[in-house]
Amino acid sequence: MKAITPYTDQPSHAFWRKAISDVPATRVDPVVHFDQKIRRTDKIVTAGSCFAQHMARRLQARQFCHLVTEPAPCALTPRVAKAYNYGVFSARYGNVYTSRQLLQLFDRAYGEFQPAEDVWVGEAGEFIDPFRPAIQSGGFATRAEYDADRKKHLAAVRRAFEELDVFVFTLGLTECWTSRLDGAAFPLCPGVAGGRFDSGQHHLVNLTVADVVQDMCAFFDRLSRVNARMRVVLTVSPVPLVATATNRHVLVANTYSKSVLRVAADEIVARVPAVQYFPSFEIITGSFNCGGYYENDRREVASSGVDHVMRLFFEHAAVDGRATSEPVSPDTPSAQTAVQRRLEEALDIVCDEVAIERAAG
Amino acid sequence: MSQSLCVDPPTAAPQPLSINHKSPRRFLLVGHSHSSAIEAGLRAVSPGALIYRHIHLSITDKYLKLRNAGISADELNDKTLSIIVRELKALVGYDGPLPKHDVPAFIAEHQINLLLSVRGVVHILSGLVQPERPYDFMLKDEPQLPLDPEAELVPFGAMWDSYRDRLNGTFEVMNRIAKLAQGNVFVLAFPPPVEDDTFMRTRLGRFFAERYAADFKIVSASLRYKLWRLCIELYKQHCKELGATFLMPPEETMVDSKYLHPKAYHTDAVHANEWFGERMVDKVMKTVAA
Repeated sequence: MKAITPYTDQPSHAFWRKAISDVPATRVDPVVHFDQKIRRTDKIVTAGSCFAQHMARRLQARQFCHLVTEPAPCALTPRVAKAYNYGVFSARYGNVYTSRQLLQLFDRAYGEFQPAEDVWVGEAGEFIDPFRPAIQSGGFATRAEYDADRKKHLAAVRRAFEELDVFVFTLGLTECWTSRLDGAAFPLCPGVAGGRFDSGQHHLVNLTVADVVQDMCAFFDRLSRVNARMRVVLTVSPVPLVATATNRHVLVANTYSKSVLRVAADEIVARVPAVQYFPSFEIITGSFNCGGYYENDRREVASSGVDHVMRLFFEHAAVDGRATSEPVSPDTPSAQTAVQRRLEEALDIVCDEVAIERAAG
Repeated sequence: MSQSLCVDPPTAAPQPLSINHKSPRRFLLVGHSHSSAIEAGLRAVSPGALIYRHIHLSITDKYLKLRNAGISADELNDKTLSIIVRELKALVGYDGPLPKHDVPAFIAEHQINLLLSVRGVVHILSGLVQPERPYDFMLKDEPQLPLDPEAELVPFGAMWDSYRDRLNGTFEVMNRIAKLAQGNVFVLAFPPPVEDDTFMRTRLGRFFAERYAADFKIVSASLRYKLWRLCIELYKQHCKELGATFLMPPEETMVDSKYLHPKAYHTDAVHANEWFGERMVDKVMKTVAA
């Protein structure tokens, strides 16, 4: 008689051999449960580290409603709009790598936190936002422009939080450079993309599981106050640290960082009912793909990896994800482009008339 | 002596090949619609002071496109250069061969000045009709200019880079001509915007009312100026890189160094008139003489 154990009735996905060893790498599916489905009509707001950009692009390409509250002004060319980070995420906040940054973004947007170090002046006199230093190369031309753009940006952040149905957030890092003055968390170490590093003013905080859980729960608490219907998809970025500021090998530092984030994610899910975890981290980093979902630098995620993640995302997390899975080009000409074309035609006529008049003497 | 030329020029009167410093100055004007006013200015200069020929690119481009279906931008530019070489020869009455690599020496020997008035309407394209989401921006060097409180503010850098993108094709044309000539290239600024909203609206209506609702809004004069200035600065920077001389409109053709003087208004709201062209040419002559 076969012994009954807690494993006896476990489904296939609970066994490594059945779920991994015997399954082709591209068919491995660790999602299993995903209760709160996303509809095409749901307004999705994205934020987080680099990997969240992939999700934002794919959602848009499949005609899910990626809510962009800070869209590119019509005066910009598509190339410049992208280079200036319009539409990369829902608002122009750039990469939000840490839980501390996200919490402070909310507080800054609602006027609850005004960091002491709130602008950097570059060598050419340009003004750089310490909280999105890479948002545009060359910084802002004047202080007035900087202030006005930040005001507009924070209004767009508020609108995104208040209007979203689903918030997709990717936890990226635990190493976090902060101000000794007030704990303001910078996305990049001062001096990397603006500002000047000063050890008397800046210090490294390597967030613990408790820190991340506390930050994120505080964030969700605040978010739920301005948006009671919020639902959250939480992921952990599979993109390794580009560098560590700790006295450890970058691989060891990366393992710590990702482990903290992964554990924190589960704790957050256990505490906040509106939050679900989506295992993109496992899909990309899992040994089943033999590192095949990374590019040659072993850091950038290959498009085949993103494909795998998003296929499962649409299968499990989207109500009608399968039905229309054909990607739609995000570069469909806008109404503005059509207006521009008509203007060009009209101007052409004006200019031709001048030429014809002259030619006629 | 002056001659107006578009695509198929009459045979030019032969000119002596030997250099005579007291002989009239020679100009080859190459440009689009704004060059018409410049040509009028050249024509107004007393006969004997200069000889010019004019390649109207608005016409040659269309002609070349008609004659060569599916022509690429590169091919079009190459053919334009061939027309320029032909006109350089016509300017001095020379019938012999002139390979492109000999053009710089030819220009130097005959003291020919190339006047470029290439395009110069990109600021108008986005500076006429108010878009659904009005926008405004601050000029880096004139941040005190008024801003539309209802408009969204666009970072100056983003405007600069976007207009740089839009001017790529124009700059490519200029690059090729400057490379062909290797000197004596003068790039003429396009006229500043009209300040008068009523003039703008009425003189655009004929073209735009058909394409838009009759109540289309035009952008503010301040934004029209900023867009013009932005493009002017881009042209200036590019000319510096090219080693070409950039000539701003003379002060007397502008109001407050910003807007087109009413005396320079053309019958449409986009171009300047002969009065403007004459003053621009006067500036050219003084610059060349200096």
